[in-house]
Amino acid sequence: MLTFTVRRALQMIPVAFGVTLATFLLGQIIPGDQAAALLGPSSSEQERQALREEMGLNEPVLTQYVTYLGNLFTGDLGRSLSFGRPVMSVLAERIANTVLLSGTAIVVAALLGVAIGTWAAMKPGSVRDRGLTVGVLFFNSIPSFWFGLVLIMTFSLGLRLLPATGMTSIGGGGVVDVVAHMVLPVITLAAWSLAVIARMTRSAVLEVIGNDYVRTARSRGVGEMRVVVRHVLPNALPSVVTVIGLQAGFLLSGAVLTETVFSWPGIGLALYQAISTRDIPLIQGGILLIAIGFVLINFLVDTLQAYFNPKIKLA
Amino acid sequence: MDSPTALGPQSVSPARRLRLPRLTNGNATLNIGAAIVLGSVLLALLAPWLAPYDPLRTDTSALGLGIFSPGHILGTDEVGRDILSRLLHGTRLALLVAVVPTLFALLVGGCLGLLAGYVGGWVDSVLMRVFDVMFSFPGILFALGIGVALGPGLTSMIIAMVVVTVPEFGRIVRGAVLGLKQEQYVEAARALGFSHSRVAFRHVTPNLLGSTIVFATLQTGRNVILSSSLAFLGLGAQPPTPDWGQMLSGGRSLLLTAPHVATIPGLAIVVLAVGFNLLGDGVRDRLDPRARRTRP
Amino acid sequence: MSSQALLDVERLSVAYPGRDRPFRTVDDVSFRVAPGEALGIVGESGCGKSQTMLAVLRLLPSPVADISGAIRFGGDDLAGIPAKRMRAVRGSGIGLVSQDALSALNPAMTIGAQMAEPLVRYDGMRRRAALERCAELLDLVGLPGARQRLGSYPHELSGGMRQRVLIAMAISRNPKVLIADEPTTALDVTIQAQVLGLIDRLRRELGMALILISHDLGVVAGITDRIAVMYAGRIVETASTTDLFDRPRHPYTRALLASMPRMDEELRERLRPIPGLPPDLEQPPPGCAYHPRCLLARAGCEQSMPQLVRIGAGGAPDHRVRCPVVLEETP
Repeated sequence: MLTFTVRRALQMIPVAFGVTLATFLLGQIIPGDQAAALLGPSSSEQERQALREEMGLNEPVLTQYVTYLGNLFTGDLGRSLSFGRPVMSVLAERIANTVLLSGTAIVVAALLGVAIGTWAAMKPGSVRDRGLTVGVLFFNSIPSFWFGLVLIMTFSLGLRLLPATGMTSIGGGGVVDVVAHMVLPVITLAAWSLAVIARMTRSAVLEVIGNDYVRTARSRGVGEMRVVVRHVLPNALPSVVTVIGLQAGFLLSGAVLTETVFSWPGIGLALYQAISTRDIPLIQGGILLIAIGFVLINFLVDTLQAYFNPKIKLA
Repeated sequence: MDSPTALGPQSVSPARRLRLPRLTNGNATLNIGAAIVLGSVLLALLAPWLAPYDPLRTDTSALGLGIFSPGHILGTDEVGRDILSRLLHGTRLALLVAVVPTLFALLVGGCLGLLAGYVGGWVDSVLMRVFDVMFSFPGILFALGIGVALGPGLTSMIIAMVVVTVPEFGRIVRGAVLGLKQEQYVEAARALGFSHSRVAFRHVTPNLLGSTIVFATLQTGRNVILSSSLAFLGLGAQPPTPDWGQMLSGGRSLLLTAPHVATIPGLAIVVLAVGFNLLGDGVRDRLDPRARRTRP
Repeated sequence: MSSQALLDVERLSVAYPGRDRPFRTVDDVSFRVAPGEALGIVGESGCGKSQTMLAVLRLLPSPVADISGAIRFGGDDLAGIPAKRMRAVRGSGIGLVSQDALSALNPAMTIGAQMAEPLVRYDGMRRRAALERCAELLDLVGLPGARQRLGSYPHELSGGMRQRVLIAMAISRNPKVLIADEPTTALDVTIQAQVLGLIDRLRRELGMALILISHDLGVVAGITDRIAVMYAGRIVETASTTDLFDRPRHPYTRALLASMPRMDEELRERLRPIPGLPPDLEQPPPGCAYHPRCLLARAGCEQSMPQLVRIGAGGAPDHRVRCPVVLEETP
C-alpha cells in the first residue's frame, strides 16, 4: 500500500511539470505585447522596453520558463492587471470560497448519486430505474449556467425563498446566511455530477449484484439492505470512486460558470472577470491552481481505489 | 425494503409502465434523436425564409416584449430584437460549433490514436503522456485558457474545443485498435504480407467506425453544452451575432421583468443536446443490441 | 416418505418474458425430500436444475422471473411467505453450496468476516464466539490451518480450499436441507472425490437432507438415495438410485448412462454420445421436448407432452417416467 502510494505520488511529478508548461505556453501564444498590455496605450516605447527587460521577456523562451518555474516555487504567480495586486493574494483570499462551494457540491453529488444509483439498480426496469435514465439524459443535456438561472428565476425571483447572489464575504452574515446563499449554487453545481455518478453507480451495482457471492450472502439469510451495504457497495464503489474523483475535478472547473451566475466570490468569478479584462497572469494562475487541484484529486482517488482493493493492500 | 427475490406477479404493472416512455429502449431513442437533429438542420438551412425579422434589427420601441406579443411570437430581447428570428439564425451557429469541432477532433484524434495503437512503442508512450497531461486539465478550463490566449472569437473557440477533445478521440481509437490488433483476421492479413498502411486502413479502420461514430455523436451533444458555456463566458462568436449562449447571457439583465429572454435560448440548447445524446444512444443500441437485452 | 417430507415441491414452474412470448426454464417440477434423505438432480446444463433450486430459495431475479407452484417446508409454503420469513429460512433452514467457489466468495471480505456475518447478525452470537465457531467449522470441513484462514481473502486460497470454505459457510447455521449445486465441477478430479466424500460425511454426521445437483450421473451415483433426471425444464424420470442405474426407462436416462464411462462394468461397447443439442427453451419443439434427439421417437411424439407416470406395482419403490413409448415395453 505504501509503495503503491509513493509510486503513484512520483507519477504526479511529470504531469505537474506538463501542467506548468501548458500554463506557461498559454502566456506565450497570446498575440500582442504583454508590456504594452500592462502599461496601457499611453506608455512610451522606452517604458515598455524597460518593463520587458525587467520581466525577462527578452530572454530565450526556455530561460523564461525556468524563471517562471522558480517563481512558482516561491509562490509568485505574477501580478494581476485588473486587481493591481499579486495574483497569489487574489487567489488566496478566494480559494476557500471555491473549495467550500465545490467541496459541498461533490459531497452532495456523491452521497445522493450513490444512493439514487443503488436504489434504481435494486429494481432494474422499474419506474424509478427508467426515471433515473431520463433524469440522467436531461441533466447531461442541460447547461449548468442556464440551470442556475432557472433556479434563480424560480426560487429567488419567483418564490422569494432563497437569495440568488450577494454573497460578498463568507462568514459575515453567520452560518445561516452562508448556507442560504449556498443552496442554489450547490444544486446547480452538483446536478450534472449527481446524474453522472448515479448512472455509474447504477451500472456498477447491477454488475456486482449479479455476482455469485451476492447470492451466497442471500442464501445464508443475510437481509437485502445488509447485502447491498456490505457485499455489493464495497465491490461496486471502486469504479464509482474514479468517477467521483473525475467529477470533483470537473466541479472545480465548473465553478467558473456557477460562480459567475451566482456572483459567488471564488476563483471562478475572478477568472470570469479576468477574461473580460484579458488579465492574463490571473487567468494563468487560476487555471494552474485548479489544474493542480485536479491532479491532486486524481492522486487521492487512485490511493483510495487501492485502499478498497484487498489485492493491492497486501502488496 | 422490497426483496428483489419476491415471488408472484410482476411488481410493475403494465398500466404504470406506460407513464414513462422507454427512452432507453428500441428505436424510439434513435428516431426522436434523429428527428430533433434533422429538424434543427432544416431550421438552420431555412432560417432566412422562416425568420420573420432580421435577427440583428433592433427596435427600441419594443424592448423585452413578452411571449405572444403581437408581431413577436417569442417576444423581443433587451435591445428589442425579435427572439424567434435570432433563435432560428442561432441554430446555424449552434450546429456549426457542435459539429465542426467534433469533425476536426475526430480527424486529428483518430489519426493520432491509430498511430499510437498501431505503431505502439515509444510513439504510443509519448502520445499517451501528452494526452495524460491534457487530461489533467478539466475540459472547460482548458478550452477557456486557449480561448483567452487566442483572443475571443469563433475560430479560437473552435480551435480550443478541438484541442480539448482530441485526447478523448485519441484514446478511444487507440483502445479499439489495440483490441482489434489481437483479432484473428488482422493477424491473418499481416501474415498474408499486406503492408502496414494497407492493414491499418483497409482492415482496422472500418471496424473502428462503429464505436467512433457513437462517441462522436455523443461528443457533439457535449459540444453543444461546451460551446454555449464558452459563449456565455464571452469567448465565442462576438455580438451582435445571434448565438444561443450569447442570447442567454444577454437575457440575464432582464431576469426579473422578462425571464423568457434567457429561458428560451436555454431550452433550445437543451433540446439540441438531448437530440444528439438520443441519437448517440440510439446508434449505440442499434450497433450493439447486446447492451439492450437484459436477461438472467 | 409421503407424510414426513421435509421439503415438498409441487408443480413448480419458472417463466421469463421472452422475445415474443414467455418461456419456461422450469416446468411443472415436483419432488419431495425426507429428513436425512439425499436426492440427486441430473441433467445437461440449461435443463433447469439450478433454476429449480434458486426458485426454492427464492433467489431468482424478480419481477423478471414469474414463479408458480407450491414449495412446502417446515409447515410453510415458501412461495407465499413474506420476504422477512423467507430470509429466516435461507441459511438456517436450507443451505446452499454453489459451484464456482471463487466467484461465490466475496473478494473484498476476509473468510472469517463473511462466514461469521449471519451468525453475529441473526443468530445473536458475539463476534469472538462466532469466529470461534467458524474456526471449528473450517476444521470440520478439513481445511488445513483453519484458524489462520479466517483472516485470509478468497484469492489467497486454492480452488479446493475455497469449495470447503463454501461448504462450511452453507452448514454454519445448521440447515435441515443442504443444496449443493455442481459443487465439484470447477475442481480437479482428485479434489472432486474428496469434496463429494466430505459432503456425504457431513450429511450423515449432521443429519441433513441433501439435494445434489450435477450434470454428471457418476457424481450423484455414489451418495444419493434417489435421482431425478431433468430435460428441458421438466423431470423426465425419477427413481431410487439403484433402480435408475439398474432399470433406466426414459430414453434420455438411457442415453445419459450410455454416454458415461462406468468403472463397475467391463467396457463392452464404445461410449455413445447423445446426438444433437438441448432445445432452445424459447422455442421448444412441439410435443415431447426430447423427441428430436430420441432414438425411440415415433409418430405421435411431437403431438403432445407426455405425463410423468408411475410404473411398477404399488409396493415397489416409486419410479416415474415421462415417456409413453417405454411404458408399453414389458418390464
